[in-house]
Amino acid sequence: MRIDHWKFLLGASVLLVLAGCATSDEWATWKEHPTHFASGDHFFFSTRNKEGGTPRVTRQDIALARDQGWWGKPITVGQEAILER
Amino acid sequence: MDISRPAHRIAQTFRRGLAAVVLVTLAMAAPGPTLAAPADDSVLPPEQHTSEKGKRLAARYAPALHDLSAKVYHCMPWVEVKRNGIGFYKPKHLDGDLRYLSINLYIDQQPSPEFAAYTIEERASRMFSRYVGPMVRRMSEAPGLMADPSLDGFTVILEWLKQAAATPSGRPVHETIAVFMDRATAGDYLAGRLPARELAARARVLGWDGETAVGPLRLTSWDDDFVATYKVSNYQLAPGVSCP
Repeated sequence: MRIDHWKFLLGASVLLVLAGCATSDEWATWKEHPTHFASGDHFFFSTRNKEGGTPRVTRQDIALARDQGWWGKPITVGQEAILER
Repeated sequence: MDISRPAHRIAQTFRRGLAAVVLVTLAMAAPGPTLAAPADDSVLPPEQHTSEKGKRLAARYAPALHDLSAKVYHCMPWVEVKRNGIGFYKPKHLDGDLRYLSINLYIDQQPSPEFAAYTIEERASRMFSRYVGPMVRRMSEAPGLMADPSLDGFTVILEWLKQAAATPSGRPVHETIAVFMDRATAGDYLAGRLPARELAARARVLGWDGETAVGPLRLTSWDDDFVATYKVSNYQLAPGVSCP
């Protein structure tokens, strides 16, 4: 009986590992988009708004997206080149 | 051989790991804190202005400047007031302690092939027409401001994404225009004596491509109701906030 428990646990672990593995296509897609989630907040937004549903966009989502630089740090002129305090 | 003890330990570890995963998932799925107001750093504090004139103006109109920041934050969610973007700044190209009420905005829009095909003057003219008139109107709403002899004019800085990063590790490039308008010009426009189509010709406009100055730009302008009519799809206004 005890050995059956051991076998069951081993089998369940193998199934769990296999279920969590990406296919080669999924890996290829992920490699094309290496910055999948830039932060936990980005992850939160993406999980809250599932594909196919009506997205819900709050001002906080927009502010966080910019603050965390989802799209990268831009090349731009600084305000100090235009104005003096 | 008794394997029940190691199996028990593995099962216990597995249960603990599973519990941790569930807890982390629940924590990430829980609603985050709500921002009822923009970050306080959008308005330059009075004491950080470098002249007494600038400090006096900033202190006198501080509540109105914070209201302006909040209105842009909630009612124009595709627009960001940059850090210390609102204040009574001195335009660098002008001599003397001339204090212009200034706002520095980033316009969040995706670059389209049609928009990119325009010349910089054509892109800048479109952004000018969309934003400069409406922003000057909002900025002038501070009670008593337009009658204040210390106010010398208005500056509206507009920045937008010119092109996305070419590679995943690259950086996007922004375009920027800075529009300077003396008080008389702004007053004529606000009073309806100066039509929107003549506003760009009366203002001084400087441009930048990324970090590179492209110098003065000659723009055309027209009436554009974009700011009044554009809505971000599925945008939910924060509770207790209303927009005109």
